[in-house]
Amino acid sequence: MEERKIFGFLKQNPLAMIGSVVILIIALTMVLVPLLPVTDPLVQNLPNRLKPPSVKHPFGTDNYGRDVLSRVIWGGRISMLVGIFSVGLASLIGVTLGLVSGYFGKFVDIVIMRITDILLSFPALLLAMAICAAIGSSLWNVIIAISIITVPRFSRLVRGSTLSVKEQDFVEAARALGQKRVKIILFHILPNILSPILVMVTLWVPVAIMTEASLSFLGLGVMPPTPTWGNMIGEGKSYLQNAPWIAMFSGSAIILIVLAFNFVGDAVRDAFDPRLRGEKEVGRG
Amino acid sequence: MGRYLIKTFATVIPTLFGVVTVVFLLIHLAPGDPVLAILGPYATADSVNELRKSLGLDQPLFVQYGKFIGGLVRGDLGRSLVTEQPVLIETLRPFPYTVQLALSGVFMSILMGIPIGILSALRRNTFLDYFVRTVSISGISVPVFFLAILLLLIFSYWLGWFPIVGAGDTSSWRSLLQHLVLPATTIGLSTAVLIMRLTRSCMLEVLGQDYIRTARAKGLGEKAVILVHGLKNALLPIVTVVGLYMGHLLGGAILVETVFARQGVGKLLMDAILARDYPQVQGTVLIFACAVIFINVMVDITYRFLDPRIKL
Repeated sequence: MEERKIFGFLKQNPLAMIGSVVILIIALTMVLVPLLPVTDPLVQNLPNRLKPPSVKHPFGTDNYGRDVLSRVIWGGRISMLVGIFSVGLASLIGVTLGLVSGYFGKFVDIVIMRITDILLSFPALLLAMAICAAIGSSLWNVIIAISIITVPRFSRLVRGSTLSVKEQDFVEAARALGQKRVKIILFHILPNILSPILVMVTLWVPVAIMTEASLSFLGLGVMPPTPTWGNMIGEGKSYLQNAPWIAMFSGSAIILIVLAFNFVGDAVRDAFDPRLRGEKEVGRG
Repeated sequence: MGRYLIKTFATVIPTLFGVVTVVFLLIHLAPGDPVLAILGPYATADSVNELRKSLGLDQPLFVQYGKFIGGLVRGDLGRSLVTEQPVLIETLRPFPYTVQLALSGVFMSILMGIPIGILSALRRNTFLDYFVRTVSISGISVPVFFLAILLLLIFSYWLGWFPIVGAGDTSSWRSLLQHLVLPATTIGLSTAVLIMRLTRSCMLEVLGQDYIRTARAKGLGEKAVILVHGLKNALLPIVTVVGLYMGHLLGGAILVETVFARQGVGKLLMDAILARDYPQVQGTVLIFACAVIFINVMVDITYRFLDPRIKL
């Protein structure tokens, strides 16, 4: 999409505009965090524990006296990282599988789609939990687990789109000209199915962020003391009565970013691909 | 009908087989030695070998797989390493709590979602409609465990209306119900926002049909038009989606059970994972996944049964 088109699109969708601005601000904060004057999220200050929000600590302090604001910002970095990397990895693998499955058909198609169906028949969170339980908890393992639950969604979508594009005349023409299959797939089919893929990416980044938060909340994701929004809510849960701010600020951060992505995602979906309506609901784990 | 059922089950069986294989491979191919994980770093070589043998982990993978499938056919999922009871029995014990939670959650979500969805469709593009739509899109952005914590904080800690943890005393209905309200509301609310959106769009589609105009033209009251002609036809996709959500609801139940420290399959799974009780993890994931597949098949059958346009 050209720049002018993007701008026109955002102008017509005030919610998408707000969403993009929020995402942009949060993304910038995440990138610039090391340069910002925030305290170290890991520095403990026990005499100063469980202090309510004040001028010095706008979001209060946690059970080790760490600054909650700084932990929310650094935690957001991890959450965004997981969201973007896992969906990026999943789309890379899923799109490749979907293209291969849809273009070549026959046996390859049957095998890939069977595996896809099997993976889709698990509740997403349950599968992610089982994977994390099996391979252990770490940042990269969480990214792998979320990618595994997301790949089948992409491969199924891309296969469907490939099947319909494959039959069109320009692909037939390319084939008649004797172009190589890889070239046909990459230069003729892929560019024509980019919009549903883009829609899927904007809709799945928030789902990935939520899944990461759920896993870390359960203690299966990124481990403390590294802050993530999920494990901060998990830790804050034990101090709900005395220090509700620990859980509240991290939870609000999740809602803010997911809401922003959903605003943008909804608008992009409506603009590009009305057929995808309902996809989000089914994919929610 | 009979032919359709046979066809359905013929496709379900390979899926079930695949699910079993995925779960088995997940536990057995995972990096790291489960025996060392169970015994800890200070275990002697003898005890390691002994446990490995007693778990059957010293045999080749395909032998283990064969034994696993053989056990499954006989309903044997192995024994829990912690309680030493059969995994199947351990898993089925807390099942009623989770089913109770999921069903009451669905009930609440229908109770909230469908009427509000209809209202939003009827008052399309009014303030009410925008409000409902904003609430529903915000609603999907709230993680279910955070919603649970919010409700817990407000209604249990601050207002003191409901008990904080547990599933209640099984001998008293009152206690069971009191402990169920907040967890069920959490699941209900998080699903209601989806049902609202869906009901709104289905109703809008149905209300634009010719037969609605005919119903109005022949002088039917507005109530009859909306409820009998409109809702009845809009219900079909709603029923399907509610059914399909059951799988995800069960996933959400894991989180809700953890927040409320409520007995259930979710809590059992979490405890098993934390205790590195691999047979129990394997069995619970398997039973959970099979339950979801079973529900989806049932929904599919009901759907075809309800919709006379689909030939069986």
